[in-house]
Amino acid sequence: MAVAVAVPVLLLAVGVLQPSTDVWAQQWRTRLPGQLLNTVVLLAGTATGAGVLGAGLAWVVSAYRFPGSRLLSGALILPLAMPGYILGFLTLSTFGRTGPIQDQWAAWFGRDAWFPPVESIGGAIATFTLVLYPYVYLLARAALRDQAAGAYHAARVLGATPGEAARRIVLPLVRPAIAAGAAVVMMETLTDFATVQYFGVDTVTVGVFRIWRGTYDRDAASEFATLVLGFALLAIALERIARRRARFGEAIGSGGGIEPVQLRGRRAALATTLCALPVGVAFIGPVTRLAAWAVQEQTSDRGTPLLEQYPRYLSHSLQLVVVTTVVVMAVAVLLANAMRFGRAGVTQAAARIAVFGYAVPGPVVGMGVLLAVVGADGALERLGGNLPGVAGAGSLLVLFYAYAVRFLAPGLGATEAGIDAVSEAVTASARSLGANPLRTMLRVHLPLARTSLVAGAILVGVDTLKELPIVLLLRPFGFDTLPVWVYDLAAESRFQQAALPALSIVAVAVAPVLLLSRQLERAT
Amino acid sequence: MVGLGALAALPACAGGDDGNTLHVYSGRHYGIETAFEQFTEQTGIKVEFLTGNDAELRERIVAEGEDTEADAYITVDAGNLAMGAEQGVFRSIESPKLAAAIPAEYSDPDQRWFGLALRVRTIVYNPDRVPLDEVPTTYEELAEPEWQGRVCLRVSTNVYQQSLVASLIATHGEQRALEIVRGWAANAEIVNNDVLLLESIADGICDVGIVNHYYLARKLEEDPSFPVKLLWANQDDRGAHVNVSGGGVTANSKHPELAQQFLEWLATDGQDVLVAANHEFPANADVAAEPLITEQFGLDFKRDPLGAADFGALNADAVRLMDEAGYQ
Amino acid sequence: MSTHPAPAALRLDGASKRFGATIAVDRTTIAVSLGERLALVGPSGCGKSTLLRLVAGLHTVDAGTIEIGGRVVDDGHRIRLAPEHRHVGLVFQEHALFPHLSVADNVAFGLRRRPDRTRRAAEMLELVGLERYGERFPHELSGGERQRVALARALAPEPSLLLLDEPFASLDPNLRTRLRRDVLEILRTANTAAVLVTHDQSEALATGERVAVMHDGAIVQCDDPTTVFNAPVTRFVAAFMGEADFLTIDELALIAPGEARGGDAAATMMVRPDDLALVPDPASAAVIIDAEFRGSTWCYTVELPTGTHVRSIRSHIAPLCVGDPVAVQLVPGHHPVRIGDAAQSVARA
Repeated sequence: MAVAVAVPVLLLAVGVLQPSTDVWAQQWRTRLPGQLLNTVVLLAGTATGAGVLGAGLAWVVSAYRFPGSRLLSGALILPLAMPGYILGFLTLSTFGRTGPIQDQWAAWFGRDAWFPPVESIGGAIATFTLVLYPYVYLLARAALRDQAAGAYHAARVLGATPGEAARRIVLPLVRPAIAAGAAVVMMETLTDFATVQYFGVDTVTVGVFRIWRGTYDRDAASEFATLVLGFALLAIALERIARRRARFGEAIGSGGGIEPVQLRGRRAALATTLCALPVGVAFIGPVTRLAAWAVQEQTSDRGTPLLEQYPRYLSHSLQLVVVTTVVVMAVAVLLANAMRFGRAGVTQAAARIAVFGYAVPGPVVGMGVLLAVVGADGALERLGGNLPGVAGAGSLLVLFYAYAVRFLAPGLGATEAGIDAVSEAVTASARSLGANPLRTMLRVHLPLARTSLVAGAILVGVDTLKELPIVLLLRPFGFDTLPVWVYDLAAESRFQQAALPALSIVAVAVAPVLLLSRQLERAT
Repeated sequence: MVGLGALAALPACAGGDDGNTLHVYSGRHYGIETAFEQFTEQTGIKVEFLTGNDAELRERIVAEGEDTEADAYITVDAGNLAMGAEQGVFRSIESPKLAAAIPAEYSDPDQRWFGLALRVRTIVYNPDRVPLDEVPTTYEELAEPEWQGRVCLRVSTNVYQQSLVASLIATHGEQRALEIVRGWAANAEIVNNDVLLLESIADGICDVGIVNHYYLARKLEEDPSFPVKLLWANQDDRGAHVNVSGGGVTANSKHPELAQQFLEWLATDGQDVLVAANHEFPANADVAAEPLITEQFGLDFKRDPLGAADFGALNADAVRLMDEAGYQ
Repeated sequence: MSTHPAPAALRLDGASKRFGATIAVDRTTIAVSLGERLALVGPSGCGKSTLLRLVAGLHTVDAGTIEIGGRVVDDGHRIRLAPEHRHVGLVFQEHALFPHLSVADNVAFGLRRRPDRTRRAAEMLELVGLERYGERFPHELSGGERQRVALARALAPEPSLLLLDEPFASLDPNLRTRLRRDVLEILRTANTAAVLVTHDQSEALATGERVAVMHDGAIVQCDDPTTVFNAPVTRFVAAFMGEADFLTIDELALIAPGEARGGDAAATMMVRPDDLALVPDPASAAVIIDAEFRGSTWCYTVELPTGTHVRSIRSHIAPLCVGDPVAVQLVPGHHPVRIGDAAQSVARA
């Protein structure tokens, strides 16, 4: 199973065996150095930004009580519901040079007054930071509660101020969690090719699509895609190292969390503002603007017909989310259990490779799956068995297969974490009491890892809901989803008309995202 | 359980093949639905369609091979169409109707694809900042040093900009084209899309730029006082660069006659509905352009006679040339 | 090594297991008879837990065979019975109860196919004295109660062999002694063969009908508790199973000339602190260098003229002082033990 998931990614790497030397030479002479530099700066900047913001906010909501702290600690993960490609065009249309903010700025201070350049790598880093910091925030908050609380209290008893204790004791303890979150942030940044283009940032990923779509050289494009894979490897290596360290790190104390300090007066106001700001900028502001656009469009004469399509798009999106989540989680559960039962090193290796699907841009996964499926179909036909419509491209099964390849990583990560938390002795006890692996999985592992499984399922579901390139490439006729709708309009630069579907994606994603927050709140 | 239920229910919406349904892959996104509906109304032929990225849809047709469901592939940009022909996506069709309706320069010489709607990529300017007599009149002029810092141009990943550069290569040869694009790169602020480009000009961030005409038409439709004006480029020499959106019958179509009928309809009775949604010029000279663009821009302008197939074939060269020129 | 016609609860024959370059279990041969309790003792990292996991089927052997109840369950290549088919019970230091199941459901977990599972589970809870705790959940129990539940759960399916991995290590000392006594009683009642792994020599001596001492992956000695304590076959066993000092024949001649007479000049002789008595003697060249109060006794360390240290315990009445010269004598009836240099002793069948 893991092999099936790994094949499309491996197909990609095969191209490198016959390099298109002239394309590499030409790119190296022209764009590639800049793209490499941009990619490094973008990844480092976003990882740092999301790391600092996510960990900082996690600390503030864990260590202090202030007006709205309870509400904000949940609301801070809402930006997860906001697809990057939507926030990208919203940021530009709001803060960009032609947007209302800069118009107002110019009205106040004159046309030549300095304003931070939004259409820049800085703007892209800021946008990614705002959309992706919740990954770090979630992990850091959990680590603070489960691992760092005891050490923090010990440090306070030894005379450290909260700030000192945070810096010298807590930070080193939660660093692995921050690094793991930052790795996810880096992978999400790396696979993006739409948002960066809004900001005019030429990355390695943009380069792949430029070669593919502009010069029609698929072989060269897939070779350049291995560069993306190289960066992904770095991110994955970082996460692995961080996780290994986390595993050796011993939890101190019972994990009851840090006893929060009540803030008053100006400091309380500051904390509230600090936490409200990212929610406002990355969620409430954009949603308000989308809503305004949507109302404006739907009340104008040409917008109305879109509403008729609405239930169809919505229902397709929901079907896709439900089936993908079930499929991915089932695969993840089986793989994670196979690893626990030590069935074979092969399972582990394949599971590791499969995770690359998350680190590779969606269209690349889509093409990989398309080629793999078409290849398999051809082989079947040669053997005399034809499976029209099932193994062929454009069937829903292929679509789900592609999604499984793409999103196995977050599902498997959460599932593994959940099952890792079940002590080996519990597994051994169940086995020696006569339970075979299947029964051990169903009766012992799954109930115990329930929280992690729900969290993983929600992450996969939300990612699937937001996903665009795969559904665009592989869907069957008529199976248009909300993101496809956004794409159709955005591709023609009709951003205002895209507001309603964009808003729907966010609205559908909000409920599971809030559930995720609740679920993790309860977990210990 | 819910998931499995949904899975079982799904294939129903994938659409069946009753022999009277046309399947279309479309890289054109906006307004095609109305055209499909009218076609069904007038002919009784049902249409199912799939939108997507042009290049990826093409790859999908190639990968699906004989199993493809697509009967027709329609897309924007001559480069995309030419590449489709090269990849063997289309079949050559003989259609007197199409030949009569569509001028030769907008179609493939081997009848594999046909331009159906025209978009003119031309110069726009902010009349408050540049008097009409100072506005550059040619694409080439925008590369002159005097325009440094005053031009907005679209990013090189965009197919329309690629096609424009391809037409420069076809007209001037690589050497001269490289000089022009270098000049552009030195002068221009690179912008992500044409809408942003128009807004940048309106806001005075730059004074002139190059866009597809219909983006300005769309802006003017929303706001008749939108402060950007259009100038047909290169009227004293070859004329303004005309790109096409069009389509063809796929090589492995199961219903080639339906697909051909569809293209013929789009080239004749369907022209109005096809172009109107997007303010394009009809490719069929017998069909009148919509009043909005006729009034705003006029019809009386010289079009670059360069064949769409000719610059379409140069697309990959154009991309490489922009790389060499340092054009972002 | 040899064939044993008698049925055994457990038999390991040349069982080996390595992890990378580390040999965790080295060609171990040992047998446990039906109903017998074997204590497996050794310092941490000696391979005893690995041995237990091999028996339970959580690891498989690289070489050698494992037989449970006369059936080969692992022969290193063809036969590798999964843990659930070995019919052994497992009890861990950390109890490993299923936190999401009630006490009764925990105990009944291994009784899935039995029609009388409810009754049997109740019986087992009664056996461990927790008959009123069935509805509770593991987190509502104390450490000792949890361990009893773990024991009841492991015994419920009537395994032919019970494996206990440091079962008392997480309990406080008082509770540990009491629970140990209870567990022995329960095991006797259930008449189940058991292997109890511990790093605590006194626990091993108190619980095992036989004690196997493990060192660096190998079983060094396997005998009844008194033999292991009184007649250790190596210096390691001697020192690990109790306080021991080692003397040469020449040194022993100074203390007990009679015991040393005719001894092999190269032999090592072991004396335990209770073997030696100290008599104040200003003329002696042996001097007390350390005194440790242990409540009912004092333990003195004496430096012999040769530089060797020996320890002696003495009633808390009339203490001696550090610096006092003393004569070291053998307590009547006690005999020093000659430590053989046998590398490995073979277990009795």
